[in-house]
Amino acid sequence: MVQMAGGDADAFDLIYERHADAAFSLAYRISGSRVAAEEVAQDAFLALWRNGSRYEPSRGSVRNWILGIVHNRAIDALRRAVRHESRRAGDEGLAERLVAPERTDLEVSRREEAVEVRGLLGELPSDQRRVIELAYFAGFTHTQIAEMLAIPVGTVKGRMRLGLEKLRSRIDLSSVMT
Amino acid sequence: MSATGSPGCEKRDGASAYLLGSLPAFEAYAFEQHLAGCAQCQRDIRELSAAVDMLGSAVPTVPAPPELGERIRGIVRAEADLLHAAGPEADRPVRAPRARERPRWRLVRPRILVAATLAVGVLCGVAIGSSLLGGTSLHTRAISAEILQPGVSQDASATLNITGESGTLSVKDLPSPPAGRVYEVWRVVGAKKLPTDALFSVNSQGDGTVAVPGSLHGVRQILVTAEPLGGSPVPTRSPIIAASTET
Repeated sequence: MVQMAGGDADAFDLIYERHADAAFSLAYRISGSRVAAEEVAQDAFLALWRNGSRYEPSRGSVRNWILGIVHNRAIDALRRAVRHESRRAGDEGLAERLVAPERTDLEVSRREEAVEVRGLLGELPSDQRRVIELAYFAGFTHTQIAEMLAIPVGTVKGRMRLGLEKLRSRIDLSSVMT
Repeated sequence: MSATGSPGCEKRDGASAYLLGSLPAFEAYAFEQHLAGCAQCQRDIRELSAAVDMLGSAVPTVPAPPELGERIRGIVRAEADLLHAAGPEADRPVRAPRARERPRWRLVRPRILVAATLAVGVLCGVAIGSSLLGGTSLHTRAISAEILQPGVSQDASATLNITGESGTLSVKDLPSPPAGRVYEVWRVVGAKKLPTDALFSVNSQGDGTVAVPGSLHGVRQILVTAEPLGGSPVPTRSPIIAASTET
């Protein structure tokens, strides 16, 4: 990251290689469209290239920082588009894959991690998982979620907090056990 | 104390909503103001962010298209080449053409902007190299924007620099936004004014620079309005700057 922040394009290549699939996957999951996902991912990686000097290792991994940028930009784009009915990346959409690149051990490990996190998310009570998914992956505001589920805004926020606390404790437990 | 500890702050549920990105811009801004002075919410943010970070990794993998990587790498290589072409001086502030010193380029990465400026000023009209953008020469257009707000100094000016499909807006001698407001950049596509997350102000000399988010493909105009802090999803005031990309 230090080299990239100094203008080293080769260092950027390395970071792109490591995180492009994760970034594109998240952008695609949120936007539901390849075109939109490409735009979001491009925007995020160029922001990384241009503002890499702002990265602080103490605040998390490079991967999480990139995914944070992708998430913010994808949600912004989604809200601008306001096309909730046509954007879902269903299983059919996810099946639309290009030829998978060579799978390194690291990549296999990350995919296993993703499956594990999905499993942890699936263990949450459905009402908590629902509000987290609607907020994080679908980009709805808490007031929209409250209207959608016909529950008070305070309940939405409370479920979000309980869900995240459980998720965090399970992640901790999982990391201890492995 | 963990995030499940005693609920000492009535706004602590806001931390989860904030981390999940479900607060509208104005509420997110208000929460950030609260966060700065609330130790409990700061703890919640620290503790719960690990869970939110993991959500981003929880999606099924969809490989990024190779052409996306080629496109991004092309832009990065082009900017890196410009940066290197600018040399060590790129790290230093640009000397203004006027007598007084102006600390410019405060809001976006200085070196790239300096390099882009040098590219416009020194390399204008020169093909920068066939290696740029995957074999396409890089061309930067500098478009003078209109200052629309009455009462703004006659010296005020704005320039939209377009490189490829990316744009950067620079302003000079522009007054600061009114109290409680910030300048917001808009992209006009067709008849629609699309908000961006590009919010900016100016320095004491009235100068500032901001990158226009996203591709300019299909964008016919860039506007700037003064909006409430945190930005607005729709323009609440008339534009003070308008730059047409079609000139």
